[in-house]
Amino acid sequence: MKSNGLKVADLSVHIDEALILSDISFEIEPGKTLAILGPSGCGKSTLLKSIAGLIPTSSGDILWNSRSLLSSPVHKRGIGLMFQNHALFPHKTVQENIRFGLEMKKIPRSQADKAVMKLLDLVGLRGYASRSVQTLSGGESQRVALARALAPEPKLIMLDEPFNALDRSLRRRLIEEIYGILMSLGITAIHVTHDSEEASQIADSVLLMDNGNVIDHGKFHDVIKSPKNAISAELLGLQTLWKPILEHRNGLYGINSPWGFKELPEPIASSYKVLVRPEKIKVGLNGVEAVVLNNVYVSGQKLVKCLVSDSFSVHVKTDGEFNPGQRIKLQLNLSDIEILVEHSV
Amino acid sequence: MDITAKKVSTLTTILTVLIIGTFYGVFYFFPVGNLLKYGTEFTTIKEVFSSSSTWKVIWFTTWQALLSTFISLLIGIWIANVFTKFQFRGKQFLKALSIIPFVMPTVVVATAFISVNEFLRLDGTMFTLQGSTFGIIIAHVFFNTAIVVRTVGSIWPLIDPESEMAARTLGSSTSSTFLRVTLPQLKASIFASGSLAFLFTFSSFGVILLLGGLEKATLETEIWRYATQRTDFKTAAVLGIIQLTIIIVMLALNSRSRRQGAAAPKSGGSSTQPSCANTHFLKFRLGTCVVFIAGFLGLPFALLVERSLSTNNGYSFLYYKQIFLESSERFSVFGTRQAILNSLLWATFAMIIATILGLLAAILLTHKSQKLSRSSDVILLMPLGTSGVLLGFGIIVGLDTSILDVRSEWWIVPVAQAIIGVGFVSRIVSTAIRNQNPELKQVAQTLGAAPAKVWWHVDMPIISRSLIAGSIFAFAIAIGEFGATAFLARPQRPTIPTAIFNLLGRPGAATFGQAMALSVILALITATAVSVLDRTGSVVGNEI
Amino acid sequence: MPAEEIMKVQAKLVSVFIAVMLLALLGVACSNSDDNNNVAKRDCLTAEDSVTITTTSEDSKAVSGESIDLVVYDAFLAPPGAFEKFTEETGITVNILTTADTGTMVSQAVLTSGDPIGDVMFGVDNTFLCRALLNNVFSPYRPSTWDQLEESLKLDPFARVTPVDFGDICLNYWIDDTRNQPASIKDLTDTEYAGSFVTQNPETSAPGMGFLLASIAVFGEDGWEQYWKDLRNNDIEIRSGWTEAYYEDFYSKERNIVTSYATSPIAEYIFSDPPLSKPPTGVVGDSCFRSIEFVGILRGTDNPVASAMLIEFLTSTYFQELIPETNFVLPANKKAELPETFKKFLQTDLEPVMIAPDLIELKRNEWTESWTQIVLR
Repeated sequence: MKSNGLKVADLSVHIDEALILSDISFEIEPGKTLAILGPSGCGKSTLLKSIAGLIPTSSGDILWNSRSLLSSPVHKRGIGLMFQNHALFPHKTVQENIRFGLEMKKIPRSQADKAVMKLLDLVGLRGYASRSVQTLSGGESQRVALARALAPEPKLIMLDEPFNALDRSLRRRLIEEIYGILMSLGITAIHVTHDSEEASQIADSVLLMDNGNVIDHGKFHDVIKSPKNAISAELLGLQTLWKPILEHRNGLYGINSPWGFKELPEPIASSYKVLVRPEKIKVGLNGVEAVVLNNVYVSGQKLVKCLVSDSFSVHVKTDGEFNPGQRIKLQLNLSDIEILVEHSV
Repeated sequence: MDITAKKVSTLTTILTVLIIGTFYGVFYFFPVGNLLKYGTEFTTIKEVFSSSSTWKVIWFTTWQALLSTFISLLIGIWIANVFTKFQFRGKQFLKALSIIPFVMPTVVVATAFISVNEFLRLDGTMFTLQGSTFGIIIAHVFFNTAIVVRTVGSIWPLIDPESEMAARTLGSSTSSTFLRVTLPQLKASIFASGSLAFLFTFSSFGVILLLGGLEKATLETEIWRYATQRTDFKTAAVLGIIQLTIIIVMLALNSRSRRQGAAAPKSGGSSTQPSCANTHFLKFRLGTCVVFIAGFLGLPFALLVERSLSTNNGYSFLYYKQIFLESSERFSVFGTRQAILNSLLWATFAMIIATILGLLAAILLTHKSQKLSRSSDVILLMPLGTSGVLLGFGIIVGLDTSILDVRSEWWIVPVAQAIIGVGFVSRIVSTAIRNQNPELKQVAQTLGAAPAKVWWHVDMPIISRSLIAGSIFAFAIAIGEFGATAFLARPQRPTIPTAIFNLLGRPGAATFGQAMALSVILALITATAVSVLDRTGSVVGNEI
Repeated sequence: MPAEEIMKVQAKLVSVFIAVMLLALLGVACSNSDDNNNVAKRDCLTAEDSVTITTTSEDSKAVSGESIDLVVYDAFLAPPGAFEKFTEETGITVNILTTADTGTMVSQAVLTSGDPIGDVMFGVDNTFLCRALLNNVFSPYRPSTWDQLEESLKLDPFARVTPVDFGDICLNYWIDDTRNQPASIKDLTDTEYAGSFVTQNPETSAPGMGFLLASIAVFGEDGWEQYWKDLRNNDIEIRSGWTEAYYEDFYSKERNIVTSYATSPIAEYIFSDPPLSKPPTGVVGDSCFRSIEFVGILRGTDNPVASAMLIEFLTSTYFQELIPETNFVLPANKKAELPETFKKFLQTDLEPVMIAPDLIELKRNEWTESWTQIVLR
């Protein structure tokens, strides 16, 4: 079955006999961006390095435009990788670092230098060309690493937490510009991040990983609407999750919430978390008693954090002004309570 | 790694083992073995071991070497620290100064030390440098400081200063930080330079003979005495076996300790930059060190210069003129001008051999296979600790088969010097290789660099600084004609050390003055060559 | 799996590596070498059953174009242009190979007896002569100049070696009105000479050995030890080599008397700066030990005829007249004329003593051990 773009099929990777990645499968269409979300140590970096060919795979396949990459050496795959630790060449200047991939492609020096200058402008480091990389700050070296990976215009580029050292405005600007470039050039991208908001801005689809396994995969919009389990929800930055008390009532298993008893969906699992989205809770004249804790601002949106029944807190999206300590009443439909299994089987 | 890369790697390893193995086999193991076989007779062995002087000699040789090494490490680390942390005028000059002791013929060093002795009026006191163990140790430290400073000094800049800062914020004092954070990262280079220093001092010959006063005997001087003055090869060989055994044990121990608990600082992260001494305290720190270097290393040299300039008519450049102009017949026999040329050529040749082979040998030292790297650790450095007498004699006796009669070819001399140089280069280079950040190679590959290009663009520049440091030593050893050279039968061409030797062997104010002048010239040539190499190293390796 | 195979290959590599090393060592054990150890204890100056080399004029022409190696010790300096002249005359090229000191050179010759590193050896002296002869190092050759050579120097009547030069190891002192000028070797034990004398360790220095032997010759085998005890009590300085003794202690005038050579004062004169009118040092006439240097053809040479011709050359008046000013020794050839400076300044009151070379060889170790005990311990 012909398919274009990147396809990873049942990829497993062992390092020193320990299983790091287990049966990873996903596809990315050419020119699209996949965000990979996962906690630290889940194997994201290993996955990227395997795709690049730096780490041997134990089983499975990696294909580009239906052709397996496994027999190609690293330097022939045309896959760019921006390292989490930047790994700039310490003995070369900024310009020489960025130019490296172009030199490998035997692009003439003058042309390459022009490209380097453009990239330096792009990442906001104009004038840094002859600087030694030893003198750069963390944010500056991250941008150089980014520019270096972009320079040779690879067919697939993989960015490992590329913006984590940058401030918000710089981050926003870079996301816009870089992804603009990637789109116009039709470069496929994998973007590893732990910031779900960032992921939502850039990605067409998202891959959620935990412990070397894929937990969820699909269009961002779909995955966020129906998270498969509580971990996915946490990775996606969804609020609010709390651990419910399980009850057995009238022969049925369910959770007991201040808004009522809700039955557990089949099949029954061993542990659950409950998700209540801020926009589903209403402040009203009657409902469950809650005490306002404080106002939090998420992406410029105000949420009110309240303590419910002295046991758990929820975030409420509301226009009203509330002060800490104020007593309010919260209304919620039982149908809006989402019960999520803690871990998928 | 894919299949072709693995194949290339294995092929490289096989080739390297063959080249190094043949070189060492032919020019070291075979000759030395030829001599040591005289020591396998049981009666001689019994005689040697039952004599109490043998044990005294073994004991003295070992403890003076350990003490010399220890003090060299202390002083060397101190100086390396200052060189790493501070930028100051004259840094390059001082760096070059530190290597000069290495090239000086021992006789000249002895002369210089005796001058110091007089100058500081130490004669007769507890601190006399002449005829005392103290003198021996100080002379050894004098030689070995350079090794420690350059080896440790090439790794120290790679330490991430933030690791030290983090420790301080966690409540660790300056000294505690140094011991617990900095030192472990330097451990490998300390062990590397320490082993080199130990080998030198253990098999030290000229220093013991000239400065040690005559009661002090080491294994090396005894081997010399029995082999060359008594023509008793059996006893000499038994002593040689003892010497070699101790060396092998020490190298093996060194190899093991080096691997434990060492945290090599990786290149590619942030590094320690030298800065100007701003505060009074820092100025004080810097100042004391500079004064010490200038004094300790510079004083003997300065006195040497003084002697070369002092004629019976006051100070002048008379002797220098005589060397270069050879105006009168009476000096033409020393061939001083030709000597300078010959020395430079031969030393360069030896350095090139040592560098190329040392680089290959470093591959063995840093190989994944433990067996290979551990045995290389020991084998590659054995020549440094082996008696020059035995090696020289061994070459004369051994390399005389009809296929291989090379013992009096001119190139056997640079080869004999290169054998020692290989040990240096490989040890220093392997330390740098171990400090490499593996991600740099990986990144280069993802940017489209094939394995050869990776090596050229990433590996080489980073280890080039260490490679040059090693080459410098190989050059210095060669130009100073260290080791087995004296005991080979070599074509008589004037070189600087032999010219100095001949000048000092004839009575006369002029011959003595010229010998001093020639020593100064030797020092200056070496310093210049070293500065040139240093500069090349910094351009290529982007030295800080 | 490929990874395992790689490991196996590497393990094999290591074993090969070690095996090669061991083979090299083993090859050593089986290699050919002269058995120098079982030399029968015999008088070194008795007849040898080896063939004396003879040459004819045809032979001399035939070897033109050959190249031979002359082995010398480190302090030897070739007179400029001398060996080029030899090549001009005979067509034979001479390569000079230097080793270390005389003892080393002789030991190397012993070790390679029969399969020598060179063709001719220059510089075996009378203290090492028997060691070389006992180990069958030379092939006899009597040059045509034999009768021109000084009789007392011909220690080997069988011409295995030919005397080529001689020098005396004597006490030197600064000629100076303000200090005591020693007249005899016996003076050194007088209290007025306390702290004035520096000499060298006989085990590490040729002049040191020379002076020890002189003292044994003068005071006898029963008396020399007392002499040295007395010297020790008179505050003497011992250095390991000539250079340190001469240039450090003697030059600084800390010590007025040093063991050196009879020709040293002449060298002082020649190498003085500014030029002096006469030598600044003098020699104690009865303290001299005669040191004779020999040249010989190494047994096993491939070029016996060319080597013989070199011996002829080295004992010819031409070469013999060049030796003094380059190496500060006196020519063995009676017909060779001394340079002017030597004629003018060589002291005439020298009474050098000698000890038979076979006695030296027999007792050498014993004497130096005893000396070490008395003087150093």
